[in-house]
Amino acid sequence: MTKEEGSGGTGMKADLVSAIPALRAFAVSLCGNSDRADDLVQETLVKAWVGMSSFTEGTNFTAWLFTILRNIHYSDYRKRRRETADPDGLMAARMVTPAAQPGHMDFLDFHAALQKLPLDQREALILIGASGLSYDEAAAICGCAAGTMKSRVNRARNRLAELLALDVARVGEGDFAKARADVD
Amino acid sequence: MVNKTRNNPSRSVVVGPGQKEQSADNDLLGKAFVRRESGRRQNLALMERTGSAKFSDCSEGVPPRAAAVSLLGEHIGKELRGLYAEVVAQPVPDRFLELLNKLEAGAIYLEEGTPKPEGMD
Repeated sequence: MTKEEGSGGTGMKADLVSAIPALRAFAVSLCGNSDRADDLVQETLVKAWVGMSSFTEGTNFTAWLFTILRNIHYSDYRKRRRETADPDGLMAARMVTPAAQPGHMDFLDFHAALQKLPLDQREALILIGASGLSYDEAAAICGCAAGTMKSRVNRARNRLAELLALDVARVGEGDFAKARADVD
Repeated sequence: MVNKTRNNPSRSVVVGPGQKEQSADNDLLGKAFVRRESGRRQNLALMERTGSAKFSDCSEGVPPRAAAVSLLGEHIGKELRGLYAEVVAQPVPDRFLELLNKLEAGAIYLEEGTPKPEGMD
């Protein structure tokens, strides 16, 4: 991280460009919608540019950007829930559930399963399991203790395993057996 | 048998979550979702494995569900990293480079009193 040129400098621009892929990956995993994800990244870049002076030299630049992105997502998420009168997130859940295809093997897509997790568990899982941040860094981003982060990751893993295992059990009893018979 | 099952053409028809509402100019990330369908093949392979795990583990007194969940745990880690890495590997969209160029050139006027982004202290 270079910041010699201060807010608006070339060094900062280069740092932001190199952080964009990680920001997009975090955003997509978080909101499950690629349009929305890129809007989140865009807002994050602008806010980071403006607020560059509040970055603490020597700390993780990507983690700082993740914090900004996450805050934008949370405040929009609350706003949207109010606007759509969807307090239980039912509509959101339906939007990410793949349509059932009768007669076909209907495996639960990993991405859809991920989106079924509560937001706090999902972000914990992504930050720890995919982005390569430490528990301490992830906890700082989410404003919680490292121990809380660990328990969220555990709950998220268990819940995902349940969702995917249910699918295995269901398919295994019916369509899967049929499919095996078809190809044997 | 495993390989034949993996080639089952029923999975070539791919409609990922949210795909229907995605516009054509949004295809970079959309394609990532479609490529996640490869994950379904892994699910299938995993089911094959959990299937065999059931038989062997039953004889050892391990509940089959626990064996399946344990295998799924490994699978989850792989899927998670794969999903993330796929998006990371995509080229940076031009819109962001243009945005940063504008910010750098001062072409985007940021209103005075723009609230400081939350959580940046």
